[in-house]
Amino acid sequence: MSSLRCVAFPNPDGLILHGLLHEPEAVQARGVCVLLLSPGIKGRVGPHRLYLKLSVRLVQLGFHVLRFDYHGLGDSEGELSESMLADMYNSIQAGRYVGDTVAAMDWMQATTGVSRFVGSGLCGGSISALATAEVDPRIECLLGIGLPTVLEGGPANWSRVITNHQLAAVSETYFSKITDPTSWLRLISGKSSYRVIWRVVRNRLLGNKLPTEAPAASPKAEVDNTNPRFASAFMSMLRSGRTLLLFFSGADRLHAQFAENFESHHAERLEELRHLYDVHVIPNANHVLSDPTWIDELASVAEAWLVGRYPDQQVAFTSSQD
Amino acid sequence: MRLPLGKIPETNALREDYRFLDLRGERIFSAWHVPGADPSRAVVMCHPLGEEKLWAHRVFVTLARDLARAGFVVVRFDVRGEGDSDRDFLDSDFESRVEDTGLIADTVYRWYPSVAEINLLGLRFGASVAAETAARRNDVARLLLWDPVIDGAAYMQSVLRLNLMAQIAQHRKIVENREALVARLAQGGTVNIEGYELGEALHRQTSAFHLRDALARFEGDSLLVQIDYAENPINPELEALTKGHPGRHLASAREEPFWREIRAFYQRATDLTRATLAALGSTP
Repeated sequence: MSSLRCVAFPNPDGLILHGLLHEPEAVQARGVCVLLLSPGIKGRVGPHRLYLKLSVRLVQLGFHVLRFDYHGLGDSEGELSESMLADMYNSIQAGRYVGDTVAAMDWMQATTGVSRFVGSGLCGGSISALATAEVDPRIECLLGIGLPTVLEGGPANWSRVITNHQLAAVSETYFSKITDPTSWLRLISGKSSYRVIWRVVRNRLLGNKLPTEAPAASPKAEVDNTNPRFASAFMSMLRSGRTLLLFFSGADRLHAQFAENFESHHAERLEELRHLYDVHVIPNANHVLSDPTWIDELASVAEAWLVGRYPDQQVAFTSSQD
Repeated sequence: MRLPLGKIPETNALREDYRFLDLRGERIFSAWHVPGADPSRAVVMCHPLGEEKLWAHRVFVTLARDLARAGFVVVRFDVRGEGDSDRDFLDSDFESRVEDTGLIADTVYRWYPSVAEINLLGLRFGASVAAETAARRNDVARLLLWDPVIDGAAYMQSVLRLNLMAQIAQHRKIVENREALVARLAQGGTVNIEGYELGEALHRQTSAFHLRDALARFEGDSLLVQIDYAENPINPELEALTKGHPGRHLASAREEPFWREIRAFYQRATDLTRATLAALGSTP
């Protein structure tokens, strides 16, 4: 019989994170844990208990499922500095919870012996899984639900998380336009990204060297709102041969953003890696998949993909409660 | 009667336990915030309905920690059908929520014999559940009702409105109006409310609830808090519920509606916490 129990473990800063572990019956266990990472505010249970609904199905197939609250959210310890929701979401996109997710895997491995992970989650959960996969190979594949490609709240946020590679490229663009009256007009009329300009100028004044090698994600000359960390993380998974299944909701803008802000910009490099990821669009569905038929479609496709990916049940894994 | 604002006391470290309670084979998730010394007072927190519960969650957590630091045993829990507890939302109703709250209160007394006083705190629909639970027991000292649902029938109308809004978002028009939704419920069907399947029992039982009736059956003290971001006059309905009743108090707190999606990231409701601590007589 599968079990459900409350768990707690420390993150790298010593803050206690609280969560729930669904463990399959020992004889059914595949030795693989699906990390259903919190989307953000709605915590480890997800909107309308989506994560609980998915967990019940996955554990019946022999997967461990770990759901936990990130620090500063849900039941976990810590306080966050942001006062606006969009800023908090952007901090997630910038990889704030990579450390918490690595800590969760460490705890799972030490406690249950399970060391193979599927990164998953809705929206902020899937981007946390992707960001963690870039630094931790224990995430063997990604099951993304509504994976966001762009930041919340407009281009101003782009400047907060811009990488040094991107700053270097943008820097060259700015200096090439220094005699262009149109650029000065943009500056005077407040249409330029002052934060980025300030970083460029500051680096020049301080003599800081910016990296000159080609960035993982080639930035566009014009600043847009694409998460600057997205492409490198996504490409990192593909280059290491890890597979992704991405679900998007038909009524959501996220699929179009993924296609326009990521796929079209990297079409050439994606060509040879395209077989490593699948995209499944659930027609008419909204962002949180509030209709039961949408959840059924998500769960059915995901289950088939996961079972195909992990066909063998590994009886060596026993319940940590035993 | 308006109450003065209190201050948040800084006292002992606290312990937190997360565990499932068993109710006839069903699991109820509970979070226990326990102060260091033998506690004599407890607060049981009743969450609002559906997605409001999730939006308000962090405010509940920070309040629970503040109260525990002030010396209270505090219990947060998920009613069956919500959060991490067992049962589908569809199979939960108003009665099951009252039963779950009663189980928590009983467990407080059983696990902490030093506790001599239990207070029930509820937000919005959680306030209805708290008030009804208190009305049926004789061991609840005080009700702390945050933005309480006064008229259950009107509240259910507002819940159904969420389905109408979802219809407009999906079909750009209302395909099934409110009367049709109610008729569907009466015939045993369900209505999807932001992903939760609302059933007939929860709709019917909640529609029959009125805070006036519950308070009339409750003999303890109560604090009714109007939550308003702006300086608005007190809701006359709330005023009518407290006027002429010495044990009932009215307060207002300046907070944003943190139980729904707003632009602010709401981790703590400072004004509400102060009003609540003041009502509990917990001042440094």
